[in-house]
Formats: sequence, C-alpha cells, structure tokens
Amino acid sequence: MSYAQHEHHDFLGASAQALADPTLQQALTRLTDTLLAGNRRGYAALADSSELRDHAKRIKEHSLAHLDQYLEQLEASVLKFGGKVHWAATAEDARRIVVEIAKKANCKHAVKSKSMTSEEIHLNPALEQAGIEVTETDFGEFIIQVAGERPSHLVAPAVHHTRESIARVLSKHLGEQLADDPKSLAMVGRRVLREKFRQADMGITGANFAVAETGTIVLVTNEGNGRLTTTCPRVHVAIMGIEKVIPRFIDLPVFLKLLARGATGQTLSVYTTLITGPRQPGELDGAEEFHLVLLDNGRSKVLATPFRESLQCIRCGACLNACPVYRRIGGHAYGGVYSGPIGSILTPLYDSVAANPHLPHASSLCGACQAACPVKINIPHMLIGLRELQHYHKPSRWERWAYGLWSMVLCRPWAYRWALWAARLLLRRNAQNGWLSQMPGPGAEWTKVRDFPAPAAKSFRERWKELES
Amino acid sequence: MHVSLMITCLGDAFFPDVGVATVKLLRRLGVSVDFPQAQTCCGQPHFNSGYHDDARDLARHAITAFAKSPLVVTPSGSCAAMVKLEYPELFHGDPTWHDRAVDLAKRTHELSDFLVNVLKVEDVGARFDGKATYHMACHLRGLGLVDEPLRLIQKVRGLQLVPLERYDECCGFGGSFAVRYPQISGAMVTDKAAFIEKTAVDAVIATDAGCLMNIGGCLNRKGSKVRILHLAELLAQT
Amino acid sequence: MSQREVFLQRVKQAVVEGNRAGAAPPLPERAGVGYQGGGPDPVSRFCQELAAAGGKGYVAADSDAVLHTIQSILQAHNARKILLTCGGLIDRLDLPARLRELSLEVRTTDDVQSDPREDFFSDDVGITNVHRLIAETGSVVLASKPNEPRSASLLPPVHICLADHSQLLSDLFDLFDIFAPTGSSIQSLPPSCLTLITGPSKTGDIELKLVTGVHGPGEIHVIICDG
Repeated sequence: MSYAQHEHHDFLGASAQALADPTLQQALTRLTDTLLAGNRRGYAALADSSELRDHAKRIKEHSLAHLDQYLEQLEASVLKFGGKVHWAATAEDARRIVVEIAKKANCKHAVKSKSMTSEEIHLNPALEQAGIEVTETDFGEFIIQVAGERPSHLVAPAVHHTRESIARVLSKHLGEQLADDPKSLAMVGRRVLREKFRQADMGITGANFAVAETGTIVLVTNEGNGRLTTTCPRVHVAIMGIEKVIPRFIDLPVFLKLLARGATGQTLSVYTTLITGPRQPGELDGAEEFHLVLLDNGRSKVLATPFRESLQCIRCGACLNACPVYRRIGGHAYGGVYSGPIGSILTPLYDSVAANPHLPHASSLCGACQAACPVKINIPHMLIGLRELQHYHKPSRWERWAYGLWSMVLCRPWAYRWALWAARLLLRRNAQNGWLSQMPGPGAEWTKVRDFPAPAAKSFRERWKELES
Repeated sequence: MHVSLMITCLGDAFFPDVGVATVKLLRRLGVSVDFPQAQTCCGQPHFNSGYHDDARDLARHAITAFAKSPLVVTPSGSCAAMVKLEYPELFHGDPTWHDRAVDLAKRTHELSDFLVNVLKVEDVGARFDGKATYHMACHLRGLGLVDEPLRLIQKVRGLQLVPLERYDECCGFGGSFAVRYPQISGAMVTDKAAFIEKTAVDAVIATDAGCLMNIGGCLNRKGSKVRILHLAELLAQT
Repeated sequence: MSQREVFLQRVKQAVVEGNRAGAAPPLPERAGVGYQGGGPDPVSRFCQELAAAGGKGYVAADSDAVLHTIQSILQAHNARKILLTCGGLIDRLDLPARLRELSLEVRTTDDVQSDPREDFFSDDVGITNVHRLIAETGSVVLASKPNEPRSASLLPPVHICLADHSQLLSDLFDLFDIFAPTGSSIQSLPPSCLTLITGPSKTGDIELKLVTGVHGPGEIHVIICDG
C-alpha cells in the first residue's frame, strides 16, 4: 500500500466539492478561526515566544543532523528500562512487527490513542486481518473509524462532521437512537470506550516526542485517552517516526511549551504523559510490556535532501489552521494522510512528486503557515522547491517554453517595451472603465471569477519622461 | 537623499499612477528619485513556479540594472521580498553574484519600510477625506513590516480607518495560483471583497499591485463602490 | 547485516549526505529563553491558570480545612466510593481514617491487591498526592509509584489532589531541572510514568463545543496546604 490514499486523486474535483458544501465551509471557518486565534494568543502570552521557537528549531536541526546517534542512544535507554525496540524500515515492516507483538503476547483487543503515524502505515486493517479488534479512542477518531472515513485535520479529525451527522453515525453503530447534543454524545463515547479499555490487552500509541537520553516517550492529549491506552492494557506499543527523537530530557519542555500553544493556544494540553519503560516492580498499573517501533518509511530519503526541514514538523496542525487554502477545501481534498500546507510537502515527498502534481501549486505562498509554525518551518520555500522538482519528474513542455520566452523578453528591455505595447494593443480594446471581464488564454481562468485590469494607456516608463522635467 | 525607483512590472503596466504617486511623495519629502531604464521584472513569477534558472537570469538583470543605485525603493512588498529574501538564496553556489545579491538586498526597501525605518517619518502630510480600510499584503509578513503601513495610514488627516475582518489573510492572488486554481483563489477573493464591503468604506488600501488587481477585479465584478488605493497614492494626496 | 544495522546505516548515510548541503549545528543551550515563571504570587497564579483550564484550586490553612474542603466536594457529588493513594500528605493528614469516620466507603491503594483494575473502574472519586505543581501552567504533576497508581487520577470521574505549598514550582522548566539540575545531562531518572494534568479531560470534537470528562475525570480539584 502506498503512502497516500488516492481516494481523491482528483484534487480539483475534491476541492470543488468542498467549496460547494456550505456545512463543511461553516465547520472549517469555525475551526480555523478558533484555533488560529488560539495560536496567536498562545504565542503572544509568552514574552519571548519567537526566540523559544528559534531555539526549538535549532534543537530539531541538531537532532536531525545527528539522527543515527540519537536513535542508538534512544534504543539503549529504552532497553535499560526493560522496553523493547523494533526497527521498521517500511510501513509493511511496521505492520508486521505490531501484529507479531500482538500474537506473541496473545492480544485480542487493541485500543489506540490518536496517532498519525499509525494512519500513515494503515495499521488498523492489518490488525483486523490478523483477528485483532482495534478501537480508536480519541473521540474524533472513534467517530471517523465508525463512519469508515479518514481524519481531515491533524488535531480535529472529525471537523467535517456536524452534531447531527455524528449522532446519525453513532446511532447506527450502537443500534440505539441518540440525541444530538455534544455533551450526551460525548458521554455515550465515554461509556462505549470505557468498556473497550476494560477489555483491552494491547494499547497502541504514537509519540509526540522521544527523549534519547532517558528513553522516554511523550504523549499529549486533551481527552485522556492517551493515559488510558498506556495504563489499562498489559502491552503498550508506541509507533514513532524516527524524526521525533530529541536529545535530552531538558529539551522536552521547550517543545511542550510550544506544542499546545501552537495547536490551540492552551498553555499545555490537558494530559502530557511521559512514559519511561514498562511498569516497575510493585506498581499496580501501567503496561507490563513496552515496545517502541521506530519507523523510517521514506524519512531517511528526505533526511538526505534539502527537504530535511520538513522533518522538524511536530504535527500540531497550526499550518492547517492558518492556511487560507486549507480553510476552504478541508483536509480530504489533499488526498494524503497529512493535509494542509505540511501535507502538500509530505505527500509528494513520501508518495511521489509526479503523482501529486497539484499539491505544491495549490498554495498562494502567503506564508501564514510559517508564521504559525512552532518551529518556523519555511513551508513556502519547500513548496517552491517541490515545484522545481516537478519540472524534472513531470515537465510540461508548453509551460517550460512559455516561462522561457517570458524570461527572454524580460531580460531585454527593448523586448519588454515591445511586449508592453502589444499587450496594451490586444487588451485595451475590450476594456470598460479600465477593466476586462473576459481574458484570452490562461487569463480566462482569472476572469471566471473577477475582472482583470486593462494595461494603462501609458506605462510608468513612458510617464517618467514627464516626471523628469 | 537619493533613491532609485523599482516600479515593478505590474506597476509599470497596470498601475503607473502608483509610480507617479511614489515619485511625488518622495520628492515632497525631500528625496530625489531616478528611474533606471533597464529594469523590467524581479523574476518572482519564475521563482515561485520553480523555474529557478530563469529567475537567476532575471535576478542578474535586476542586480545589474540597480548596480549604481545607492538605495532602491519599491512600492511593492512582494518584489521587495523577492530581492531581499530570495536573491541571496538563488546564488548560494556562486560567491560573486551572491555578494552582489546580498548587497542589493541591503539597499532595497519597500516603500513603507523606507518611510518609517529609513526616513523616520510617519506623518507625511497626507490628507484623505473619507473612510478607508487596510488589507495587509502577505509579503509584508515575510519582511516583518506588520506595523509600518498602519502607522503611516493612522497619520493621514481626515482618514477614518475602519478595521477589516481577517485583514492579514491572503486575498487569493498568489501569481500563478490565481490562474491555476481559480475556484480556490476565487473563494478567497470573494470573502475578502465581502469583508471589505461590510466595512462600508470609500477605499481599501493595500501595498501591492497583485492584491490591488485581484481585490479590485473582484470588487469591480460585483459592482462595488469601494475603490482600490495603493498606499503610495493615499500618502501622495494632500 | 541485521535489519537494525541496515536501518541505522541508511539513516547514517542520509545524515552525512544531508549535512553536506546544510549545517550540522551544535546542540543549543537555552540559557533563559522561554522561562516565564510564576509571578510575584505563584499560588494565586497556579489557581488562576488551573481555573482557566477548567479546574479548581483551593488554599487550606490546616488539616481541618483540607478535610472540610474534601468533604464539601464529596457531598456535592454524593460520592460513596472513594479511592485514596498512600503516602505523602494523605498519610500525614491521616486522611483514610478521617474519611472513614464520615462513613464513606474508603479504600486505599494499600488495600488493593494483584489486579486492581475492576476496582478502579467503579470508584466515584480518586484522591491522590502530587509530585509537583506548576504555577505557570496550572498543572498537577504526578509520578507513578507502587502506592501512587496511574488509575487513581484517571478512572474516577472526579479527581482531588493534595499538595503541600513547598511542592509548587514556578515554571515548567523547573520541573525538568529537578531531573537534570546541572542543566545538561540527567541526574535522577524519571519514573515509569510522569503525568502533567492541566484541567479536566476535554474534547471539542463535536462542532468545537467543549465537553469535559469524555475519558479522564470531568473535574479536578487541587487543595494546597499552606500550614
């Protein structure tokens, strides 16, 4: 199975569908308005948040530049506490490893705390195929699982649902008629999922961070399902991308101070859980077995390229909330596991540049993503880099020719002046009050939704002569 | 003080009034202005579309055109950002041109940056009788010029500034983006125009030709009475 | 070569290749960056931040005041089955005995044997000690120990925790400095589970409407003993 799920191969169709869905538009506006305001409030509340973000970025740069060493150190630390470490080069390896752990420990019921990494490797079908029941326990993810869908936002997976559609989905699943107020629906979720936690013998989580020095993995949730998943079942499997490792225990609070602020504006999420190995002798609860699955799945390939910066991402979702494109087309239009600006980088890189021609271009490069990012990832630059890469993987001959001709003209002032004159001659004929309602060629796309200004009767360089005297 | 005007290709062809206003404003403030005739386009369309070799050709052309200018002022945040942030990046493997790119980057200023941070003026003696709102062009964010235009606008006599909802959200221009994804870009500019209409102003002020042609095109299509006004045009009025 | 060695070899090669293009910066030192502190009055800062997160903080002058506060919380919930962890302030205040005097069904973690899970699932209120409090964020820090199980603060719908004034830290960074006081390498190892709790369990998954108590406790009460 590939990295991206191309249920919406058709980016244009999917985004048009999203734009035409008023309920989705309302939900996206509500979500992104709220979370973006939180992001700005969160940074503003910390006097030197910009410097702290720079510091966090440097820690990530350093970690990635010494990733092999930190992975070995992480492994040694986990082993010291009695945990086990597994190396998964591909998604397939990771699926096989998790299924094997489950079989060996005789696990039948798995509960999962929200993990994008497990989405990425399409873990659930593999477990189900092996006869292991798996239940998503983040309430939003649970809704998505029951509905048979994919998350449409990094931290708000069910944003595309309304209370009515959630009540419908859960009523059908449980065979009872549920009221559609959020409180009682959430309490239904609590009741159903409590039963799952009680039964569960395996807990599967991702990891927001892993500390090489201590072998600690960190889970951040607001609901507490991350705690339940690591407390109730006897086996805990954490699956993490190799880029999540940071060097020292004291580097952790730097990221904790930024993660929730960036994502929602909270000072901290409700539950920050630092797990260091399995339960120790005498303890009454916590998993008896702790497994850490380290996933490469294309990351080392990216590590070697100028796109390495994308591995600094801490999956907070801030760039989605800030993005004027995401807030209009939603997560599903992107077609990959990760959506929004960061998804537009990750999906082409990990899946295929040629097979995802739209993602790097479907951005106005406004930079709102970078301004919101806790580690200031230069997303616009990487999108431009991918556009450049596309010309090698999937060149468009006529476009190449057009840009080439255009730059030839622009490098020659006489040709430029001539082109100005020709454009004026061509376009001013049909202008009304200085605006054109219909343009020829590629400009026709522009005038579908708005008018285009006619070139001025005299260009500035012509008027400069008057100004000089 | 003496500066060279970088008019930008869009300004040259579509908004020459903005250039004229910039020259008048600068002269009023005691700055003499010249206009290097060899200038054409900064190469941003090529750079953003991933045609970096072409962008380098155009960058070399611009660096040469402005080689003798002590300071360069441009009434465009996006072209200033191209010169200041991207030119040095484009020549990473080429020390000679890299140095020249860094040199031009240092000498180049977006108009509001030049007025507030170089000339150190905020009250330029402008007057505008009416209500106006302000749309922040995206590249000002990259240049860190979030306050400068507002500080200038607030000092304009007679102007009643009405806050704009989501004033710093992209209008949907984005160069080729507007042509490649007219539906998404159209949704963005339609929202922008609706927010502007809601303020019931006489004019919307922006600092970039791209925003002005996009927002203006949408307002015109809707038959709106709100006019588009470049910051230079606003500040040139007395 | 083993799978592990192939894996690490590939990462190492990618590190080297990628490092050529960019820099490989040294591990940066934070100095004072990002330290916010607890302000002039950390106790009220803590209570403010906790309240902002949806929890409730109390300051109690003596053991009677603590008991009184607990009693009123229990009464408000009509709570019958109370689970207490052991040690710390709970022992010093002799809390299990004093709650039993109120004819409540009280169990301590010392009473709980081998597989405690079924018991934990049915309690109304969990009362725990804390490892630390953090004023900056309004967080409660819990460290797992044999007599401080994770479930006590997680499974019951109401969580009450008791802290001594001296356990209050100003800033999140202070908590991590306890484990690495030199500011560089680790001095004391973290427990198997260190949990920071900042307010009651929350979800906004339905139309962004905030609902508390979806998984963890819907209420968190923190009583700080001043005496």
